[in-house]
Amino acid sequence: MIAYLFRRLLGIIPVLLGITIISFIVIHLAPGKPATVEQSLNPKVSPEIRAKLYKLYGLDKPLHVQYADWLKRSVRFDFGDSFADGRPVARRILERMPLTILVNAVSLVCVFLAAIPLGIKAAQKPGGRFDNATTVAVFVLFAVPTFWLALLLMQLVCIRLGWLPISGIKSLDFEYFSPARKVMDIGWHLILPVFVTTLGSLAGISRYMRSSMIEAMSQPYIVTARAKGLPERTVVYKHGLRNALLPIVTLVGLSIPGLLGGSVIFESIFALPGLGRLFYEAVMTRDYPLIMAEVVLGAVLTMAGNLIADISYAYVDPRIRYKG
Amino acid sequence: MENLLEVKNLNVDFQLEQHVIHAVRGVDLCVRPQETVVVAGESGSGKTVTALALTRILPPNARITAGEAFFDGKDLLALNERELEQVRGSKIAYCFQEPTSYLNPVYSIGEQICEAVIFHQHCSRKEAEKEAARLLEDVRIPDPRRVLASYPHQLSGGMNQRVFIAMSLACKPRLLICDEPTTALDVTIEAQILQLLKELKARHGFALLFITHNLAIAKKIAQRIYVMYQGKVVEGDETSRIFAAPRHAHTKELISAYEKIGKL
Repeated sequence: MIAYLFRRLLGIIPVLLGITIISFIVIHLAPGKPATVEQSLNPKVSPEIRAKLYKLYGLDKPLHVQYADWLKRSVRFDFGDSFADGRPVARRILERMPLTILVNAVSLVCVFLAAIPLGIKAAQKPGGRFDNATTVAVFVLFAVPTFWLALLLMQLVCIRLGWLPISGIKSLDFEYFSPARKVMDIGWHLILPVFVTTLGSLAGISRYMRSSMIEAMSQPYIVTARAKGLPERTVVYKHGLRNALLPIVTLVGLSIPGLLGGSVIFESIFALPGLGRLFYEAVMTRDYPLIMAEVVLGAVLTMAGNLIADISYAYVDPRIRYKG
Repeated sequence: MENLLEVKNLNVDFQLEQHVIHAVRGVDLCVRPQETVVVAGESGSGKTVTALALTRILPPNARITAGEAFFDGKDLLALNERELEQVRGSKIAYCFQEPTSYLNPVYSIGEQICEAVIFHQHCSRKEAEKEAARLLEDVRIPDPRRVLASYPHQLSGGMNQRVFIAMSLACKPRLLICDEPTTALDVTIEAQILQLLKELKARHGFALLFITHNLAIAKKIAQRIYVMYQGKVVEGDETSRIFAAPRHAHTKELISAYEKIGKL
C-alpha cells in the first residue's frame, strides 16, 4: 500500500507539469495584457512606462523563460504577488478559501444526504409512481440553469417574502453582533446559495444511486440473503446498500475538486467573496500569477480527489487491493 | 409416510414487457422426511422457479397465480412475509449454482454465516462465531478460523460451495433445496460435494430436494425423480422405475441421450 501510494504521488508530477505548461500557454494566448484594463484609457500612461512595467514583472521575456522562472519559484511554494494589489497570491487565495470550502462542503453533504435516500426509494420499485415522479422532478431541476433558478428564488424568497438576505455573507451591522449571532448571521446568508447548489447536483447523483441500487438488488447474493430468512430491511440496507454504495464512494472523491471549482457562478450571483469570484476577477484582469496559482490548486485537488477515490474504494471493497 | 412437503397445482407466471410467460404450470410434487428427491429437466423447464416459489423468493416480475405448498401441514403460499421469514433459512434452506456469485462479495464468510445464526437462533455474536466455526468443520473445511475471516473472492468455487452448504445448515433445516449445486464445479469437486451432501444428510437427517439437468447424478443420489418439461412435471416415480420404464417421450429421449454417450 505504501509503495502504491508513493508510485501514485510520483505520477502526479508529470501531470502537474503538463497542466501548468498548457495553462501558461493558453493564458498568454488570450488577447489583452495585465495593464490594459487600468491603463490603456489613461492618457498619462505612456507606452514607455508600460514597457517598463512589463520589464519589471518579466513579461517581456520569451514565454518559455517566463514559465521556467515561474516554475522555479512555484516549487518553493512562492507563487508571486498579484498584479492587482501587489499582495502575495498565496495570501489572497487563503483568505478566500474558507468561505468557498464551507459552502461547497455543506452542499456536497446535503446533496449526498438527499440523493442517496431518493435513489434507494426509487430503486425499490423501478418504474413505480415514486420513481417516475422523482425522475421528472430531478431532471427538471437539472435542466434549469442554476443562475436562473438562483435569480428566481432571490426574487421570491428575498424580495417578495423577505425571509432571507439577498446577497453577501454578513449583515451591515455584523461587527456589533455577539459571537453566536455572528455564526447565525453567516449561516442565514448561506442558506440560499447552499440550497441552489444542492438542487443543481441532485439529479446526477440520485440517478446514479438509483441505478447502482437496482443493479445491486438484482444480484444473486440478494436471493441468498432472502433465502436465509433475513427481513427485507436487512436485505436492502445491509446486503443491497453496501454494494450499491461502492461506486458512490468514488463519486465523493471525484467531487472534491468541485469544492473549489464550481463556485464561479453562484459566488458572482450571491456576491460571496469566495475563490470562484477571485478566479473570475483574476482572469478578467489577466492577473497571471493569481490565475496560475488557482490552476495549480485546481489540478492538485483533482488529482488528490482521484487518489482519495481509489484508496477509499479499496477500503470499502475487499476485492480491491493495490500492490506497489 | 406423511409428506414433509406437498406441492399441489403450482402455477408461476413471469410478466415481461410485451407478454406473459407461464414458467410453471400445474406442478404437483412431494418430498417425504429424510428423502432425496431429484427434479430433473432441461434448462428453462421451470425447475428453479418451482424451488424459489416455495418460499416466495422469486424475482419481482414473477407471480404465483395458483397452487398450494404444504410444508409440515401449513400452506407456505398462504403465509405472510413475517411468517415466511421464520421458514426461510431455518426450516427450508437453499444452496445455489455458482456459489461465488451467490455469496455477498463485501462481507466476510464469517459475517455471512453468523448473521443467519444470530437471526434465527437469537444468540450472541460470540456464540454465533463458535457455531460458524463448528459448521465449517462439519463440511470438512480445514482451518475454519482462516476461512471465516476470508472473503468469497479469496476462496475457490468448491470451497465456496462448502461454505454455502455450511451456511444453509446453520439453522438445522428440515428440507435442503439444492439448485444445480455442482454445475459450476469440475467433476472431481462435484463428486466431493455429492459425497459431502450424502454424509451430512445421514448425520442431520434433512430431506433433500435436488435440482439438476444431469441424469447421471439423479440416478446416483435420488430415491425418486420428477422430470420437468416446459413448465410441467411430465413424469414422477421411483428412480429405478423411471430408468427401467420411462413413460414420457421426453424422459425416454433424455435417458437415451445419456446412454449414447455412455454416462449412465
